Amino acid sequence: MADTRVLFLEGGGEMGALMRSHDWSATPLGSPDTWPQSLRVTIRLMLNSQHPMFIWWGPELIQFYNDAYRQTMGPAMHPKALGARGRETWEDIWPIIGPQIELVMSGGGATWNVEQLVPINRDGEPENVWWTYGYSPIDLDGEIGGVLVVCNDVTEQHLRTEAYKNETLRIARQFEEAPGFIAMLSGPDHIFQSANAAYRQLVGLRDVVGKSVREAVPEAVDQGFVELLDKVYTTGQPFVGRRTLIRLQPDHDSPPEDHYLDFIYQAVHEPNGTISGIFVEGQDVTEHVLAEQRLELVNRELQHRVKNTLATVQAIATQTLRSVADDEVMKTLTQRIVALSRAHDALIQHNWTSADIVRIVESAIDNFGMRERFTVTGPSLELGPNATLSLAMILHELFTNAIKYGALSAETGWITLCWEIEGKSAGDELVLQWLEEGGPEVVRPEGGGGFGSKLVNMGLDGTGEVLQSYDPSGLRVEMRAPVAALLRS
Amino acid sequence: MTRPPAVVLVVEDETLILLDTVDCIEHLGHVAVPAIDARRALELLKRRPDITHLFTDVNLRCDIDGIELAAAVQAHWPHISILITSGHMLPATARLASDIPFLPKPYTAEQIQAWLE
Repeated sequence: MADTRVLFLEGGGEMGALMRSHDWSATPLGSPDTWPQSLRVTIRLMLNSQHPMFIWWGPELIQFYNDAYRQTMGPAMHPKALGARGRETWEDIWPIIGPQIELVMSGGGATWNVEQLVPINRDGEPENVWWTYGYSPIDLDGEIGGVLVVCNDVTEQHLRTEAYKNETLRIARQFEEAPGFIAMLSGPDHIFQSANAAYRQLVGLRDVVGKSVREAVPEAVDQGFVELLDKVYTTGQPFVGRRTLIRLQPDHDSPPEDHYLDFIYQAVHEPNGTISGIFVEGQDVTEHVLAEQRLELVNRELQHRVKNTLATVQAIATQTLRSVADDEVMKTLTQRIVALSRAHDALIQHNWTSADIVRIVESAIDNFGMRERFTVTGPSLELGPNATLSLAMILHELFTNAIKYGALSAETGWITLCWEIEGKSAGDELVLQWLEEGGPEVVRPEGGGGFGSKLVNMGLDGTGEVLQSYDPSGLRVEMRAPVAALLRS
Repeated sequence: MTRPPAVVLVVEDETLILLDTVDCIEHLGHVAVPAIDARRALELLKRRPDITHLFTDVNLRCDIDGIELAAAVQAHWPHISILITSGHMLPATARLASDIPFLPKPYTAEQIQAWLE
């Protein structure tokens, strides 16, 4: 049967039960039925709240707390903190909380702390816990009888916020240190929200943040960049610039600098779909572009040297032979040198590394100018420098021969030139066919043949995979070579 | 030869090529007038009103190049036919007047013959 004088200890779960069974007479407070009214009211309120609460009462700061508060304590604290003196329980952190308790007890008002680190000893080991808490005075006959603590363990929330802050800082640092230039523009006037180090470097260390593009980089206006930004802002369509030239002049005294940029203007959409700004990101590729231009120049010079050298060799050869050889020999020689030179033209297109078979064939046909008598079919295929020269020279010899003796020597003859790539177990193979038709009857030449015939018999990669058939209706030549070898050679 | 021989001013800074081209033109039955650079070519043009053709390289180791020489000839001696040659495939095509034919180096006697006839 409950004593009506201690009804205020009813309920309150585990802590309620502990409060009721505690031997209070051994404490300075004495038996609960003698406790003052204000303490009873506060204890009842505390025991029946789901909010973590704690009370220090009297000059000895005798302690009470509820189940919700008990969740924040480990076995090192609970249950011995109940009814104990404040200074003994909280010795470790007394320098932090002591002055605050003193403030409230002396009538100095209440305290309020947000996300404050107050380390506690839950399991015998000190532990960092962040608290949001307030100390409030409890009245006792017009004086201060004790301190009510209403608190919240906000460690989880605090750690989450810290992690988010660190992540944000990390991203900001990556943004700042990114090798490419990055800027955020906001609004229809393209105001710089931020610009990373690479961006500031690009525009000559100008102060751009807070200014519009028009103000901060005025020289970009006449070069059409603001117009591009306007278009991205209104349409939402990104703009991608490749090797785009911009002339930047940080101030009137410095000389203008040309930069080539790869960049993107990307509209920034708000969750409701409207456009709020533009994300600018890119690379200064000036060095690459200049290197390419230099390479192009060197290539052109090299081409010039090669062709001039061939012209000089030709001059020496004709000067040497003119007194001993007839015109036909001279003509054959110079035409071969010209064919070799044209093969180099095809190679120069790819920095001397390769040439497309289509281009080599077209170039040879153009040189002889009888296009209407050719049927040409075959896919694109890159050939290495040696294979390019071999094919060009072989085609030259076949052409010359066809004009002299074969299909092109008759009014009505024609030539089919076709190639395809055949898949073989050892790898793809190029099969090229030269078929003459409609010319005079073919007669197999006597002896081993001249330079032209030897060259053709060497084949595309010098291995001699060549079938020449002197079919009476026209010469047929079939050449084979592994594709891999052709690209390498 | 049904027509009178052409008189061809050959401008080429590589002596061996100049020599051979002159030889080739003469072998075809025409008259060749050699010049090692554009300045000499201009002097010859003033002295030799009988010149009917100009065959010039582009790079001439001289302050006037073949394209500028061709422009001067077009302006002052419009009756002269011009052919430009170079080791470059497309010698500064932008600067080359579209009505002037271009012959890449090396070239054959037949190509010169085709131009002259």
